[in-house]
Amino acid sequence: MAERKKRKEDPKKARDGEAETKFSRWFWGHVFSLIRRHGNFIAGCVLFGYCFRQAATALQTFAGHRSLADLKFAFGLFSNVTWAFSINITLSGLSIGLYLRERGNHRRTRERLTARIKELEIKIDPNRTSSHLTSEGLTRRDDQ
Amino acid sequence: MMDAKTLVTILEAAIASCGLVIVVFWLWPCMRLDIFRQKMFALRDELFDYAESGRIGFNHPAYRLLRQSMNGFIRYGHRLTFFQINLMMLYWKFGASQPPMDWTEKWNRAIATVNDEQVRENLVKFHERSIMLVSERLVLGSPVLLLVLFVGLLIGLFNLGWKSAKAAFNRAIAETTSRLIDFERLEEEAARAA
Repeated sequence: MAERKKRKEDPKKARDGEAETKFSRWFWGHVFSLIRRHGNFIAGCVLFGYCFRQAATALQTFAGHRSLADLKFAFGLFSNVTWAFSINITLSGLSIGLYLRERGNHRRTRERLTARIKELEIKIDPNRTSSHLTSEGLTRRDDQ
Repeated sequence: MMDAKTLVTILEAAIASCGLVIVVFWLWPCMRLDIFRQKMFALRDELFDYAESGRIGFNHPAYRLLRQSMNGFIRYGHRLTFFQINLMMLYWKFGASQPPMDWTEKWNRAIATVNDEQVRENLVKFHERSIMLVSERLVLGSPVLLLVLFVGLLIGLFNLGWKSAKAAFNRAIAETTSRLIDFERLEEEAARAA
């Protein structure tokens, strides 16, 4: 009621206020939408960058005392790598490799079976609805 | 002065941290999403088989609504995280007007039209199981909700005793999510998306 009265009193001001509200809704809507879509990726990149920076700083500090061209330096570094770290990295790499391979196989199997299942189910339920994933069972680009 | 051993330790830590970042921010979420979708697909298939057995028609509103909600959860499963839901709430608060809520109303009306009490009960159970899957996905993927779950689990175990750890776990998950997340809104979105 009060707002209607205000609008009656000064319609231009009210229109400006409405436009401002619309813009702020649009602006914040996009901000939150962008954070929601890319937040994970940005956080990962920042942490990755931080680790890289720390390693680079350590190398720079060390390079002030020893020359990188020194062959002994490289071998010296390798000789200091602990066996626990080597085993850890090897096992982690193998596990990740196996996981990725298995995931690929799983996707291929899904792709092979999806059309078949759909065809059979449509025979039973002609109004069957779908989840709209890709044939590999992944999120569509538009739905990201 | 830094010696080679210290440098190697720093490099090892940096490499291990990079590996951890890759696992935590890429591989782990992908795997959790795959598992969630797989479980929801299995539940949807079970519902399909249930309808095929003739206990409820494929065109019955209760079946269609349930399938619609499951389809929405499968489609937008990647957005079912505490972080994403909070941002979605903020988006609705500041960016877009809240969409109308009518899925729950339709569901209640549809379930009331099922004459067979056993079938009605089974459909409600299907619905509860789908909500449980969503709750698990939300709670087990968020450190904040995990902490709340842990407290809830302790309280649940004190109340139920060690006799039923699974029941205490399920109850803690349900309590955690129902206090922090608006499920009616989530279902509404899922149904609209399908």
